[in-house]
Amino acid sequence: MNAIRISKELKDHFARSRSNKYVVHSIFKEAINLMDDSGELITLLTENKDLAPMSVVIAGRSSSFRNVLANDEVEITTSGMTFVHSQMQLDFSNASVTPCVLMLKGKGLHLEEQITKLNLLRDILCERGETSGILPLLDSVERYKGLGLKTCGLRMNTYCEFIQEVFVEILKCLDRKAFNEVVDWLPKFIGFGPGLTPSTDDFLTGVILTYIASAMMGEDSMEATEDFAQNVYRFSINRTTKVSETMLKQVALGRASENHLKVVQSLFISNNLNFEFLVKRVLANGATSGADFLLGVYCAMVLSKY
Amino acid sequence: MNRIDRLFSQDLKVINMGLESFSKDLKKQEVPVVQMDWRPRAGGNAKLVALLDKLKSNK
Amino acid sequence: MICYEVRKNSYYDSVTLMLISKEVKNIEGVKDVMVGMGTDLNKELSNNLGLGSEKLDELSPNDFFISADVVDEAIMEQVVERVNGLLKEKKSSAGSDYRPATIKSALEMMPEANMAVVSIAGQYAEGEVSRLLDNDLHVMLFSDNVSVEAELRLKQKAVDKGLLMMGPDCGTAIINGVPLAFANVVKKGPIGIVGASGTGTQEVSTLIDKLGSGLSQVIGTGGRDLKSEIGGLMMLQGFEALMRDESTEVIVLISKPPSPEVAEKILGKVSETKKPVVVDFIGGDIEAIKAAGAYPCLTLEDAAYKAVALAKGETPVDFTGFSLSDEAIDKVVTSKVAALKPEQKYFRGLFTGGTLADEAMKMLGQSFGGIYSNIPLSPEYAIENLTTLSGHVCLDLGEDQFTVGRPHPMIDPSTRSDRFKTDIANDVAVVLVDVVLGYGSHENPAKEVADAIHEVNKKLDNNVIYVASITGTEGDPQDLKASQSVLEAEGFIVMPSNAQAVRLVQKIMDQLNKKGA
Repeated sequence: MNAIRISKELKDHFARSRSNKYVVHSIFKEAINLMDDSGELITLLTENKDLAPMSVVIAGRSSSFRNVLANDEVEITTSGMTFVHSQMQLDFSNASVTPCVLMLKGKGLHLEEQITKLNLLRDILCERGETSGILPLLDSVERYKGLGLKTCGLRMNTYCEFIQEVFVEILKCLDRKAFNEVVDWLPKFIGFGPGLTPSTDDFLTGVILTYIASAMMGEDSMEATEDFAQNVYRFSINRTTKVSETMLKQVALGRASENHLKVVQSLFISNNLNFEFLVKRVLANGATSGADFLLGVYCAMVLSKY
Repeated sequence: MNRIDRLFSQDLKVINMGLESFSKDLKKQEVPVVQMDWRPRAGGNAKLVALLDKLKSNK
Repeated sequence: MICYEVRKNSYYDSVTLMLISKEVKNIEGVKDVMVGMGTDLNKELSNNLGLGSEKLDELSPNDFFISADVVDEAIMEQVVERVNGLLKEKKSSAGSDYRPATIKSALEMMPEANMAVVSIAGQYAEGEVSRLLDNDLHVMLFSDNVSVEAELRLKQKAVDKGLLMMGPDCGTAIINGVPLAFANVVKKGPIGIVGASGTGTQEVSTLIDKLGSGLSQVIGTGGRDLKSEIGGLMMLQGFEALMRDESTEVIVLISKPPSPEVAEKILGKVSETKKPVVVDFIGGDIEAIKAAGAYPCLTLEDAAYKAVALAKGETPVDFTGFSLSDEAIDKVVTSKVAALKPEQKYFRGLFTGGTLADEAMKMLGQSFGGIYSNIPLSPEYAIENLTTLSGHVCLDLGEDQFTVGRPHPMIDPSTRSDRFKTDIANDVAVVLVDVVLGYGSHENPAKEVADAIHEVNKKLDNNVIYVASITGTEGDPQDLKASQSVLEAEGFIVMPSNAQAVRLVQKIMDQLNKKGA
């Protein structure tokens, strides 16, 4: 297998890290997770997937993960990795290196421009129809803010009904930027919902990334935001899945998958990216992960812009 | 270089508009393929489609 | 009662989890179900829903669980079985890739795309294909019901831009070794094909593979390309490309008889290349082909033999016999015909491949009387009434009158299985069928044929002779050898090519007529 892209974070990690032994943690059709003995998770992705922090994208025609054995040992070398028992090699010496970290270069958007994009985001989310994640809670943030918008019309499901009260409490705290109080609610919130990355974790990832962007634009305190993000990560340890934990750890450093980053970027600075396309790419992640992440972005924006 | 000659020297990368089984077959062979979610434009009204095309070409 | 299924340290993507939850809910006897990873809050929700217990408390966030409220244990077994099935299925089926709705967004996803395969309803095809060509994409247009005028406009645009526009109604192509739509897995090699007839092209390409050689490119043009309205635009385009292509040493052109002026234009090109050109204008003018310096062919199989000989630098000779010895063939014919009863007189050809049906009728000609068909060689043998057949009959079951509201019989063999029931009666002596393998085709067409014939035979008083040929290779996703055995087990004589199968039928009918006289 040949890697065509590698995230800068992973490349740096390999250069820094003393451990060079990993174990195959989980195998999916389009992704393989590897874990080292310190619990660090790294990911191999096919070309269909967006580059994520701590990940490598494998060239299309050799994208088959079929032959990788469960629990195989993996050794990292300077130019690639060897799957010891699967008898496979991955070469990343020719892979292009891309950072998966939030960058906001360019002209900041006016409030009206931001609202226009936000409305487009809302339309796409409402169009999505039935969902088994927590997206239907979109109505509650709008009602809380008294926006007077027509309801999005998404039907509530058991997950929404269960978490609704805590969700609104968290919104209230976020609205006051009372991050310490949010932290008190976390044990009743983190790691909830269907999927490998539970819905509430995706939601928090969206919120955190948006707040980081906002802080980078000077609208919020970076120190408080980072502190909050770190707290969320600390609370997630052993309360949610390993994959989700890793996602929260990364986002606390401003890192996320490419298109997730681009969506948030596009809400703050002027660029020539196709916003609708990006949103739909993100939505296509998992069954509900993308939608739950975007709900987090939407809520964070609504809370701070209205 | 002629476009067909260039095609013969490249790896095939396919956009599939229509029957999904064709893209499944290509995926099995590890050929990169994008399956489109194609729907008739303007809700399948042939007259309207023709009109839209006309408007576009007049631009 | 509440039942659990737990997988420690198991990870499934959320699309799979969602699918499981939906499907399990649909099982009768399941009152409620929750599927998820064992985080505290997910367990709490289970408790709230009345699906909790101490057993769940032991789970960690990295354990996958199903908790279900079911009528009895037997239902839970069903649930577990369904879940196992779904998890297996999920591994091999497509994921939740984002599906763009417009060409623009498809190209954003895959900016370096170079080929589009189009199989949308024919009336929308022109607009979309035109846009694809504007974006410099080569196109394979599988859709039918595209007007001749639209075809001409699209092909002119493609020629102006130096692009391929294969179709409409183009069923087969192999570009850079990749089979598109209905095509077989063939070895790479020195022979390039431009074909205006789908199954004809599949037959030639598979035979080339079986003869040990291989293909460089297989370009389809759609069936109307060599009519005077289109003027052979795509065959000329493909022919010229193969002349330039360094990995192509021998060129094969396949089409039903073209319009004379189009034939002239195409054969006129033969002198522009040093590469040998093999031409099968199925049943067309052989002298004109010879005069142009190309190699004419008697059958699709003959085309494959000649192309392979030329690729090896040998002089091609006509192939008109059998792979088996004449004695062996005669022995089979004699024993089979001896077992026929006097009322068994008629021939039935029931084909899924149109070109193969056409070739069969052309080879048989008038040798044992006229053959009625939905694609007759002359109008007086057109079948008016498809429900009651009489005399000798050969049908192309891929034609519109059989496929309204159902898929092509190469995909859905039940069309032909139904015809077996009505068309094979006690007065039938010999039945000839084709079995087409490869991508696009049904996953096990040979078994479908064998099963259907098995049922038919139960109802017949007489022993009918069954002859088949398989268009397929060892590399095809269906198992070629198993396909042959399943047919043979049902009493079929399986021949190596359509041409040889037809010749065997001819011998059987000749002997039968002698016996009758």
